[in-house]
Amino acid sequence: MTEIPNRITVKEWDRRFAEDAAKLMDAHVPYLKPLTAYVEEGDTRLTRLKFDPSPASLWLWNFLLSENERLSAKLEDGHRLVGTMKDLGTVPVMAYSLPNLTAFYPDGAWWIPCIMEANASALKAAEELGINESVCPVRAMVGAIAAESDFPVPGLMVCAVGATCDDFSALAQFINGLGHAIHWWELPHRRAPAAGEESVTLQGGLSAPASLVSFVVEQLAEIRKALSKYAGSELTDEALRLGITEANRARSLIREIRNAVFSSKKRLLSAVDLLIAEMLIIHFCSDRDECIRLFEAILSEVRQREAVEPDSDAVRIFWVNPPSDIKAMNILEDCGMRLCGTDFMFTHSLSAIPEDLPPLEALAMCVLADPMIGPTRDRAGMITAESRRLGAEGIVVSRIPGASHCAFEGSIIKELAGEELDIPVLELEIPPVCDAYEQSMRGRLEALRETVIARRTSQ
Amino acid sequence: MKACGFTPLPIYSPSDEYPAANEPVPTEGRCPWSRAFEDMIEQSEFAAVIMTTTCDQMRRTAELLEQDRGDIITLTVPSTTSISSMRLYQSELRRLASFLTSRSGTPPTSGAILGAAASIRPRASQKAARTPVCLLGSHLPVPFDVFEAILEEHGACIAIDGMEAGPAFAPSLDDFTEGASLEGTINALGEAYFSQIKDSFSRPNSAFYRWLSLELKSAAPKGIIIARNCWCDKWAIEGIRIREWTGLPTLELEFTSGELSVSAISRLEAFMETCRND
Repeated sequence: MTEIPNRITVKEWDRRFAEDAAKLMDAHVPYLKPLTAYVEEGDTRLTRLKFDPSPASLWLWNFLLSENERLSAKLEDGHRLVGTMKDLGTVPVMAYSLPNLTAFYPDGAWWIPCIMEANASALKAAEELGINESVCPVRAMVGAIAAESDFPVPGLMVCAVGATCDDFSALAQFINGLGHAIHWWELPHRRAPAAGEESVTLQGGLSAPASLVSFVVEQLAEIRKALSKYAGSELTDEALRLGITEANRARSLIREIRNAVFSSKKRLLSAVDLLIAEMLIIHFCSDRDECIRLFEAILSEVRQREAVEPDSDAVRIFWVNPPSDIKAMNILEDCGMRLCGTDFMFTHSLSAIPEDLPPLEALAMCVLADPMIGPTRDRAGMITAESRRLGAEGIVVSRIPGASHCAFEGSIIKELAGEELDIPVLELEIPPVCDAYEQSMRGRLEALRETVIARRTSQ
Repeated sequence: MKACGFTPLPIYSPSDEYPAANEPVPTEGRCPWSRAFEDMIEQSEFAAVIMTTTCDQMRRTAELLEQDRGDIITLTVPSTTSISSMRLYQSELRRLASFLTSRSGTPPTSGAILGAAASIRPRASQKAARTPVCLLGSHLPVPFDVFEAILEEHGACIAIDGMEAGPAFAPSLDDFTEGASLEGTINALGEAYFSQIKDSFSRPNSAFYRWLSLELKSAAPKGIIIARNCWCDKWAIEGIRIREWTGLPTLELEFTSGELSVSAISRLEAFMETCRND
């Protein structure tokens, strides 16, 4: 019999809202409301999802879905908004080191077509500009900025280009062409050091030439100047150190949550909630302090469950790439599987930023550990190592429609994981709304589960 | 490359001498040119292969090729235009020189680099008395002269050759001089090339549009042809802006396989009819 985890729908949550809100009273979450309120605002995908039933999860979804309101409120309070693009985790650490800056990723608009389904005006706006579905769902970012829908347009945009997706680079240039100024910076291709070349060791066992670290330090120094000018106050080394310490608090908490969930024999958190919680780390969902409080609440919930939940025999899956439709996480669990590891393209933002180095150098080391800027084989190696460590029984590589890296990485991951671990690897293309393909997806995931179960039986 | 004793062979399309070995199988998300290039390299014997990071598809193709071979180097060509990016580019050229020396055994000298620079001439298009068009884009499924002949058959002449391998983006090296040392010469070469990059992949790519604006005024083409491969995101998205910005009839000629299809030629025919009638 396929084990299905305990999850809750939006309607069921409405019925118990008062009870859950009371449990969060001491946490002081003034923006808490029934999730159907967001459905009425257009986030209709919520009605097709199943969530973790904990009060911490209610807090998580409220925190996520209230972000745009929070950004508007910050503007009214005199904050200045920074749109950070593509680096997924480093520039916000710098921005949040200044008290009047709030940073967020306009890239996050790529989930608007999922969460808002047919209501997604950002996609329509992008199409009106000529950008159609042959381009990755991140095209919604262009529509959102052009139409000034979904989030306030930031006064400063800081965009990483170079060893980045061509579609994102071209879309950012398109935004620039619409008249929005962008501070461009170079995210260089991470190559292996040559024999005899001075090198540094990065997170995840990666290495890079020391000269590249110096280059990225120069890039970050220019970003520091731009942020300082925009904020009207200097971003000092001291302020950066404090900002790094706070970012590390958040990173430490999300690592603890992930480690607890992935290494446990029990189901400690619903997959879709873990996905969202993990995504928060890249820019703290526009409120670093609140993000830290929320992570503490989630970790507390996870610890409590460790003590009382029964063991689970769900098939353990390592998931690669964020799915364009987050419902895929529900479907994974419906098929009797659970997450035991993830690489959502920003593993470099989960690790601790070194606090014993000059701050820009420490941040440069994080930048260069980005799994997407170096050879895919490096990334595949890290995925394989983590899969081994966490006891993954299978790997799912989620393909993003229109994304160029997806055309290359699946075969490399299959080859490496296949050679070293001998576990099945499934590539699954997941569009922003997967309903039309759901039966086919379920079929393939169920086949993956059956393959793993058969292997368990034969071992 | 010349200074290290090699004969440089720029490859921007399959040719009779270096054909794509297999008919590229359309792969979701992978541009057919990158697949054709991978085939060509695997089937041919080059003493060294130099690839760059100017497009993500080729960067990842380079990774695939580098896995099992030591004769490939991927040069970082920065997208941004700062002084720091120029210094990165210069260091990449020095790294290229070391790599080529290790392959050929012939270290470059300043004099050899200067001589090589003087001998490089960009291709020239025939400007016959036909309907002038502006040609932009990256890689073609057929050699350039074959494509040019097809355009001529349909009444077009290439008044502006803005292809990535074309004369528009070949820097002028008239002012390039030898440095005080080999490193100085390589740095000067790097500066000469870097300062003249006006490709559309630059960020920002305002230099590309400044160049295009001047060329359009001077050559007054009747239309623009953007020749690009399927899954080439950079040109697909840039094409939207070019079309709107110029206001000229614009044909996006998309290649989905390793050949110039009948439908592509039909589209060219129809486009030239439009240009002649405008």
